[in-house]
Amino acid sequence: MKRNKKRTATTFFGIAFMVLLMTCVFVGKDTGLGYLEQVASLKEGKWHVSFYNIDKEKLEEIRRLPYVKETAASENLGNTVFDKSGNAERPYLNVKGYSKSCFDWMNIELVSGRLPERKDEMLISRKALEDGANIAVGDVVNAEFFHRSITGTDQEAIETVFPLAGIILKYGETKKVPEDFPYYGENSSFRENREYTGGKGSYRITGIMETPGYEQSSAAGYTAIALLTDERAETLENFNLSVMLNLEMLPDEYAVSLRELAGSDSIDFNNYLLAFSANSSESTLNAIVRFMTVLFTALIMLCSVLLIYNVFHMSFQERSKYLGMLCSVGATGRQKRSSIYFEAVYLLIFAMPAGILGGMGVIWTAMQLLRPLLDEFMGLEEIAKKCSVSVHISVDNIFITAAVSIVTVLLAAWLPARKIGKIGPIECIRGNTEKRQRKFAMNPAVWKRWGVEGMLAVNTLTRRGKKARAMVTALAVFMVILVVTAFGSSAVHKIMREKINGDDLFSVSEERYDYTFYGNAYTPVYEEVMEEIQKDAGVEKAVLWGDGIFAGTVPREVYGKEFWESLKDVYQLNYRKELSEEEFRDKYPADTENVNILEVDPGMLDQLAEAAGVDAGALTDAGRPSALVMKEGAISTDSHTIWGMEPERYRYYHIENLTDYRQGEKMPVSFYNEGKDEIVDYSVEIAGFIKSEQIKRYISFGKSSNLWLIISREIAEEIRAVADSSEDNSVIHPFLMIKMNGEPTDLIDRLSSLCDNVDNGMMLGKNAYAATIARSLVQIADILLGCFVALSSVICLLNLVNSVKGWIGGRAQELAVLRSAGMTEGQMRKMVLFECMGIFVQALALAGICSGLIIHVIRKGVEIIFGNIIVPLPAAGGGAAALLAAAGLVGIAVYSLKSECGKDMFESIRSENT
Amino acid sequence: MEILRCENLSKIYGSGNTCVKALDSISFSVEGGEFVSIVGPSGSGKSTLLHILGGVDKPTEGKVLIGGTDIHGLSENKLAVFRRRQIGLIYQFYNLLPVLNVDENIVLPHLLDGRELDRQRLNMIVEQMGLADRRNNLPGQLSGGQQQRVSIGRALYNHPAIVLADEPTGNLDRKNGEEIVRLLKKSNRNQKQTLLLITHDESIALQADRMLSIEDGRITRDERIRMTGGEGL
Repeated sequence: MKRNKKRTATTFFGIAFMVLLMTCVFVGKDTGLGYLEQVASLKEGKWHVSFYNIDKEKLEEIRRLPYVKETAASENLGNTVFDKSGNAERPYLNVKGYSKSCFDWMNIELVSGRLPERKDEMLISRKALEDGANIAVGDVVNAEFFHRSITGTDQEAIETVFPLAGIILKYGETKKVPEDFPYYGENSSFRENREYTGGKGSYRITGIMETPGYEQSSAAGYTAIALLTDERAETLENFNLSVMLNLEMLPDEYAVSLRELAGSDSIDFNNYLLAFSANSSESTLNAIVRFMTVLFTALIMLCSVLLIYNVFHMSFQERSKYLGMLCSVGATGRQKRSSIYFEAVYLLIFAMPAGILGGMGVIWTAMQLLRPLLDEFMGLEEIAKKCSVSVHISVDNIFITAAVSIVTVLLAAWLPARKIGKIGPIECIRGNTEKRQRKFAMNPAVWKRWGVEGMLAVNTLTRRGKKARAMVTALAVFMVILVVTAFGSSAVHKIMREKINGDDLFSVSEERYDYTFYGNAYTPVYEEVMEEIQKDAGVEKAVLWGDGIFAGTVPREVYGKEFWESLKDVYQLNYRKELSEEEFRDKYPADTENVNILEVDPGMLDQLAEAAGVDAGALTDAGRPSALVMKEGAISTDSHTIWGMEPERYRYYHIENLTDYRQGEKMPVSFYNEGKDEIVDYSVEIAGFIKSEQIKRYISFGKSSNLWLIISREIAEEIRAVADSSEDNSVIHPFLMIKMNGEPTDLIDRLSSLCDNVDNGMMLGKNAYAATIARSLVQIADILLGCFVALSSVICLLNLVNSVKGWIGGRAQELAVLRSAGMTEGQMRKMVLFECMGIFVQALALAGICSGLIIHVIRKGVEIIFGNIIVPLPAAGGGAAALLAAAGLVGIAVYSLKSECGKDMFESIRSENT
Repeated sequence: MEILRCENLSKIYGSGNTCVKALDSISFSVEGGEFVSIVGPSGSGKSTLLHILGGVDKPTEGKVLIGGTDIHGLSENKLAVFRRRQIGLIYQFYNLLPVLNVDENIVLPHLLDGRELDRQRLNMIVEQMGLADRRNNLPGQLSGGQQQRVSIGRALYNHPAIVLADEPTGNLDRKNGEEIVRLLKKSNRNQKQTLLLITHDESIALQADRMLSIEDGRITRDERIRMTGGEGL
């Protein structure tokens, strides 16, 4: 070790780096997920599952589940008049009853005072004081609880619309309003009613709490929370229940079981929190976290074993004479092996604490750097400010890190140690441990073609056996790690995207629009909602879109050959035999196929038309209806199932051309006319075709086997007229796309609340790719994989540096002899470049085979675990890895050669002879 | 005709208290075709002198003129070219390239010079060196004597102006040592090849035309034993 300090240092750093990476994987995973859990619990609370409006019977069932750790009940007491309010638009208190655990689980944060300890005590929202309420801790509120409703009083008005509450009120009609419905005071359009629940009492204010996240600034009441005592909880017939789960005991399908148990009652999963503890209600997310942990660990072990093995192997080559002498004085194989194990363990003793401490430092630094990104991905920047980053150190994690590191180092040392044990003293002393009797004839063709430099390089590579192979392996590993990691990254990314896009029919780029607001209402109502939304200070614009899934049908021949061949294959896999055309026709007799329609706003239509190279003007001419047609699609044995049948195996078909129709041709489309109860024929001219790649900046379509027609507002209106669409059943359903301008607003909270509280089928979705948990995880996974590629590249680079320096440095005497024989530095550089070329070509082939095999295994694994995922081959990653490897190899080799040439030739010649 | 001249050659290793003077103002010249043996105790500076003469090491002071060229005034590249054309070096430990076979090792300096292979000369040298049945063997597959013969073949193949041999028999048994000296002498006599040979063996030293004795980096004796190419005096 002392003799070659540089190599010992490299080995030490290699082992320390490996331990560091292991620490990053095991401790980093917990730290990262712990932080995300912390942020997630601040967003929604610490509870895992909530059941709404359940009865005692269901409560008992829930409590009996083995993985339910704790439960806590809560109730909605209703509104009460708040005389001391300082805001005329908020004259009520909206009072809830929380059992003791709920205060902690729901993140109730005290500003002053204390939590309620008796049933006649309550907390009040800080917002009330900020709005000027004349109230303080110790004051008493006399409450008489009621629920609110409104009755239409305007005989003149046909109906009064509350777009953001989803309420349309006719004269004389009474409708219940949600908790956050604003207070409008006395007016001529409607009257507010109070339906008293019978609950009343005096409540002492024991504390002021931070305004809860769910409290809307436009709501009529401030939030107040009283204590729900066990005695009262016992008397409640229906209540809400928050549940903490024992995450260690969760079965895979727990979410399905709980949903079944909830039945018609509402159930809500705190999915952010569950996802970050790898227990999401969506099993894909859990599988991804596990997949990544295994992938990271396996790759780190692979490159570490190779690095350490390589170093020990070179060390052994260098010390062969010493080992030979040991052997000649009676050292046994075991004693020789021990010298290698001793070296490995000695280095590990110092490298392990250094690696673990370094890993923790890296995790802490990485968390500080990644924190803003993580918070942004989850859209929780404000909440996240309250969280601090702490490295999650547990005995389990340190033990696993240490155990895996020890196994890795011993495994790496075992191979050279085994070899040393077997070699005799003569071979060691002579230095010809590679026993060869083969003769090598001079090949004039080589030096004639490549010169003496080429001949020397070829001979070095072909006649130096294992030394050359070690170089080839080091370089191949470098490429394999980069390619496999790039592939792993793309696999994780693809899995998430496919799962998301596979479920979504289409998704709109967040750069264009931030939110999609869906509902069942007819276009005119949307226009009113749109106006209301556009008035909001936080909105840049809101536009109307529309979609029609299976909106129309086209004759069978509109779908092209590729579609039918793929579908036939799916049928053959299901029927497990070759089907003739007639048989297939018999099994799939439909004469028509469905088409989907997407109506977009004029601005988007212009952009899509431009991307497709089509004149947008042609798309708005109602007299000559035309559409952009999405040409790509997909069919799989998952997407086309046949009742009662199990396909022979899973197959996925990407379809480049769903139709063989050409641009300018008219596509016959039929619509169902409700009024006439008949099929109406229509035709749409194909203005142009678009592909996913062309429009990915705007819209991405899910994996559909149906054609998508993208049309203008004008054509959509004409189709609605042709189909005689009514308010309740529109062939093309309208929805709103909303672009925010960044100004603070509670519009989104109001819209979310509207979707949550009123059973009106409305839905608000965030378009941002990073908006959902799954999408957040993809971004996080991308960052982690990026970091992992960078860090594992360092190990591979160390291995490469070590190998190349060993390759050149190990030939110091040989190079000096070449110089003494008259080889110039230029010739030597040329020879080394030839060697690099040979090594690179071999390494490229080896890396190609190894990466191909690993990628194949991962692809198969992904297919088994995740289903219909086809991960593209990492061509760009492979190219980049090859370039990087070639540049690294040549750079290190030329540098090492230069430093060898700078040494004293005489000393180099003598050094290895003495 | 004078082929080699060295003037005031000094070589100092280290500095300050650890300074060692390996050569101390050595001057001498060698005539073309002369066979000079260099003798002296271990550490006297023989090998240092030989390697400085061969352009492998650099003197701290002084000049080495071979065929009138001051070799240490040449650039690294020019010196390398000069070495492969004008100097043949033979080492005690052979220093053959382990990845080249016998033929390739012998013709290496020639090929490095970018010249066509003279197969006839190669065959002749291989025959002379008694290596005909070992041509395709790598150095690791040869005995010490065979390796040294390859090393001599490499030194002679290019018709260098001067052959420098550093204890070529030091690592061989008597029989092999005699054989090596016989080959070198043969080349010296038949090809008029200038030869400088370091040895500890007095019997070998006395076979030379001239014997230089070195002690503590200085020439202590310069003795002519016989006329160049002739019998003993």
